[in-house]
Amino acid sequence: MKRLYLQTRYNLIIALLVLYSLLIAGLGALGIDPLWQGVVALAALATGLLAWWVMRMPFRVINNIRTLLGEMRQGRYTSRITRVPWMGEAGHLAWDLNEVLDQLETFFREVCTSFELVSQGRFYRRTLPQGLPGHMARTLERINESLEAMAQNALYIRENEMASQLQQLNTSQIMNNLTLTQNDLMRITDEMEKVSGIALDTMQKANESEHSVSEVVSAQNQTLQLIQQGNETMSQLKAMSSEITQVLGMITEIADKTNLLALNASIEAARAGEHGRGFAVVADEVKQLAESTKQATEEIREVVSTFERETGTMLDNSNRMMEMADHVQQVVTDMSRQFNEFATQSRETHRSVDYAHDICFASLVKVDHMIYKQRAYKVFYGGTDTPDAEAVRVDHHSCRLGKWYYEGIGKQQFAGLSCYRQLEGPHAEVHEAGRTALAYLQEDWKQDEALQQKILDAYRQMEEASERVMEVIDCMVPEKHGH
Amino acid sequence: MKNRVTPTNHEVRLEADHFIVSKTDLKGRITYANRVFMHISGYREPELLGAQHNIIRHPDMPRGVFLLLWKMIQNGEECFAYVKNLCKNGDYYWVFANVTVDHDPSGQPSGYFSVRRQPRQAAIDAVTPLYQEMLRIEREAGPRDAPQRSLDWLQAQLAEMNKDYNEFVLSL
Ligand SMILES: Cc1cc2nc3c(=O)[nH]c(=O)nc-3n(C[C@H](O)[C@H](O)[C@H](O)COP(=O)(O)O)c2cc1C
Repeated sequence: MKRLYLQTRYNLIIALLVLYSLLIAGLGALGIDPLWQGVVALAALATGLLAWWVMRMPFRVINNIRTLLGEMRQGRYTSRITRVPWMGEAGHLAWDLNEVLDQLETFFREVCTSFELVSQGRFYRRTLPQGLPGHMARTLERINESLEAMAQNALYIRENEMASQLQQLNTSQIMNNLTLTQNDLMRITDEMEKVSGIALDTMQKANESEHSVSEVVSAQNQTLQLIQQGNETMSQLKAMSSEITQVLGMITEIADKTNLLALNASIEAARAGEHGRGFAVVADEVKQLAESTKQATEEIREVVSTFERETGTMLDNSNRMMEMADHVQQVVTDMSRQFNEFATQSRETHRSVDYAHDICFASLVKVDHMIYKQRAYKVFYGGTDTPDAEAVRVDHHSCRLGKWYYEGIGKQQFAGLSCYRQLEGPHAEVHEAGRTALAYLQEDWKQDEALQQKILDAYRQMEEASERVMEVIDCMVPEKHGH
Repeated sequence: MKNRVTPTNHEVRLEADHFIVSKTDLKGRITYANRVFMHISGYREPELLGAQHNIIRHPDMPRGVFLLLWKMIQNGEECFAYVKNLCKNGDYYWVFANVTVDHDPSGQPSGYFSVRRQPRQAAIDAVTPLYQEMLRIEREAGPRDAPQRSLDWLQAQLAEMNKDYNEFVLSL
């Protein structure tokens, strides 16, 4: 049997009552006046109708309540029941339900609106527990606590984002500046290298010149010596020619005396007559001999006096030459001193330029390192498949410092220094740490706190090693130059 | 429907747990009012149902506030306001009101829902001079431009504080 609704049951009861009244009225009619009979029947019908009508209203309300509860089951809290006066318990029920719905609807709207605003990034809205009953109010308070936490979190995130954006801006700015500095330093280092070459060249030429000049000086000295020797010889010659003149005088005297003797002898021979004839011939011969001796002596005297005159002139000339040579020697000595100074200065210049060049290169290496580190940081923001990441993957043999160290000037000029040997370790470490950080960054680090710690550690190690590189470089240049 | 109630100077104060709820259709005609509403305002349900919500509008309220309220709720936003309301007997009561949009099951706006709570006295003290200034501007502007003028002024104030209207009201 189909179960009846409450309203149908009541309607049934009312109908039965009406029927019952009509029956009683009908039975009573047997003994009563038919007019009264009609009145009673009408009254029974009217009472029935009234009862039906009065009952119908609460049932409508109950039906409404049912519909409402049905909607509530589906999660809708918007409908209300109105116009329920004079309905006693049914009315109260409706009102109670209305007001429960008011609370529920308010509760859900509060939650909804505040979360909607949160999702739009606006955090000022809190739910309003005021006026809601205990448990709902407490729930809203709890929600407010989480909203507060979310607001704090959002603030924190925004701060972080801000900081990170600034950091990124800063990093790229630093990178730009560093790249400019790097370019400058590269150009300066190149120029310095050229200047250093020129200075070296100058130094060599100065040394050569110095050498040539000192050769000139010694040649000049020899010339001077030779001139002096000539001079002495000349003086000796002069002295000798006057001795010859003396000897010639003596010879002339002898010839004169011989002539006189020959004359005496021829006189004596004449006196002796025939016996003296032969003697006279000898005396004549002697006289002629004396005559020709005298004549020869005269001739020699003439030659010697010419020789003496010439020697005097030569001596004069030689003296003048000596003066000149003396002067030349002074000039050349001055020149030699100047060339010497020049050579010293150019050596000095070359040393300074070389020092400056090394300092420049050291700065360049430092800037390279800063750029390397900045790149490593940029990878954190920009991702691991960027040109920056490529640059970070370079190992410690292939970067500028590495090439310098293992193949270039570094090896040629610095290899003997203790700093040079100290450099390799920390330099390799910088690259190793950079590459390690990069490898971690390629993994899913955002969810993994341990990995995040490792990344931080790698960056920290990179900084630390880089600091040591800088220190070593700072002491390497002074070590090489003995400062 | 304009009411002809003469305002008195008597204030009815809401209790901390008073919770006044009403609903309207899209035109602002009341479709539901809870028992606290009736208790405080002094109206009975038959007088309220179908009536415009301005039945409890107090002449001390600037029209610019309601212009903003309607703009916001028609835009789908919720709106907070401190409102001075008029009882049937001319008394007045301050509420801290929140109006939101009702949606039918298909998601279309179907009406508005409003909850009013006990306001904080400090907030009332803060809005009173604002409302007075708005009223003065409205009187000067003449009936046609009044709401927009006073609303412009209010929004200039908010812009100066760099706050949303709701944010401002909630901060009071
Ligand atoms: C859900 C809802 C609740 C409202 N509650 C009030 C209220 O409590 N007091 C009031 O004066 N106006 C209230 N209004 C605004 C009125 O509809 C009306 O705009 C205002 O009273 C100004 O009347 P006027 O348009 O005749 O100037 C409410 C509007 C809506 C949609």
